[in-house]
Amino acid sequence: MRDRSEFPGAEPREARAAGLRRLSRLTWRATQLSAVTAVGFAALFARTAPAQTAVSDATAAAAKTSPPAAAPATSSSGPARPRRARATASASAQSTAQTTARPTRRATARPTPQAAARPSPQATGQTTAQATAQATAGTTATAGTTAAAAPSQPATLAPPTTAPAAAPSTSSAPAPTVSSTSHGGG
Amino acid sequence: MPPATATFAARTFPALGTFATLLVTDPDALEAAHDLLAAELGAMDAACSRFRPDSELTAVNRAGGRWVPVSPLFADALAMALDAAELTSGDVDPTCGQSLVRLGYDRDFAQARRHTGPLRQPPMPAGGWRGVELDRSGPSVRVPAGVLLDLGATAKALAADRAAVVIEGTAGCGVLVNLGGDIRAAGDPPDGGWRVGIADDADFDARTASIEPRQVVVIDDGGLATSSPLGRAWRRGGADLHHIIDPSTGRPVRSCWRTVSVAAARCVDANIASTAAILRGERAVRWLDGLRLPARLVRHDGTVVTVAGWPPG
Repeated sequence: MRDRSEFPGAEPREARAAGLRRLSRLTWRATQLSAVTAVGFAALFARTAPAQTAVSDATAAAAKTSPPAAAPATSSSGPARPRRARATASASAQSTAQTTARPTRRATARPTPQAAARPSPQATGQTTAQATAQATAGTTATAGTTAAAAPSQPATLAPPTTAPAAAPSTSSAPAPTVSSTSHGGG
Repeated sequence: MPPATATFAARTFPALGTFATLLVTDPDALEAAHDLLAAELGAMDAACSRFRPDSELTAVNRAGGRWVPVSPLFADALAMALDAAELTSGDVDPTCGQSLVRLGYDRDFAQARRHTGPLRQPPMPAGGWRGVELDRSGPSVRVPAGVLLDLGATAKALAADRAAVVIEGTAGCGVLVNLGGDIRAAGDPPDGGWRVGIADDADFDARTASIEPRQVVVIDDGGLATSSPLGRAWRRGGADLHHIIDPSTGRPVRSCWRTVSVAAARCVDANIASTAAILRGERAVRWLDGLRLPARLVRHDGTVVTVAGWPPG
């Protein structure tokens, strides 16, 4: 039991009411502080969250915005760049295949392993076209037409189907049709 | 397979800060082919020009590290540039933009070469291509703040590839696209193939703005590109500079080769290989041979080395 001397000049009931008001204010401020802290942490985690946390949202966004023709090709033939949360946006099956293939993209992901992991007929067709382009060194009309409609096939440093040949050296031979020089900035 | 034809029609016009030459084996298709090529070049310029304030590249470079939505074409060009970096272990690095700016190549080349005063800032190494993020599903791009992309090494070659493929698919005839020396042929060639002069920039005649080819070769299809530190060279503060940058130093590379020409399946592959060969110096001979990429390499004294089936000469 408290001694009245703690609250000089105040009635016990008034002192109790004053204490409750202070406690109420403190509780309210603590709640406000918690809310601000929670928002701050949420923002921080949203910027640094691992990829898996954003897959579902990103997939929905990609489904709305990606052109139908380009979407399968981008994930099948497009390079798997260093990606953060939003960079995993793609159809979920493709996303899984890509994540699996990412560490060894150059060595193993092109073209067969990705095709095997990819369920979509479009993706399979794209990969087949890619393999055709590689096999024929990008010179057939089939490979060319496919490349025109979809993003370009990744660079491979593939050799030509035939090496350049020496032109006839007779004096009657016509002049070159074009010249290759770096003067244009190459 | 239709019989090869000996005739073709040609047109040359300025584009992408250089020239574009279009050859088609069906003269009736020239006009339509020209329109397709001009459209492709216009789109590539709007996407990838480092000197246009309204280009996508400028928007990406100015984004200060934020994600920027881009067109599929820009994503394509960037993906190719990052492929080039990966295939060459970073020798051909698209993040050399800041290096070029520090060296005075901060505007259209014709204007940049007029300034000959000393440089204001020291060279700056490439920003690091592994820090560039490309989301192809959007598509969108994020470049670390302070890093400037320069897609000039691959975008022009990619444009040649794309245009040739589209023209061949649309017109159904043989086509050759030459963008300042970056060449792509597609479809059935004319009788006897496409004759290509291989020039050495040391022979450039400024009075006539022309180069006498050192060798003439014939190609049927695929890509062919030539790189040289002599091609785009300028002087600042008494120092000779050029546009092929060593990413590790931010300085123009000092190569044992003055000109490298490479043939490959596509122009962009040839361009990547020829640029990397300049940067790799002596190691380039074995590297190109291992890739079976026919190439002609010219030393500063004029000595020629050919590899992987490139005809001697």
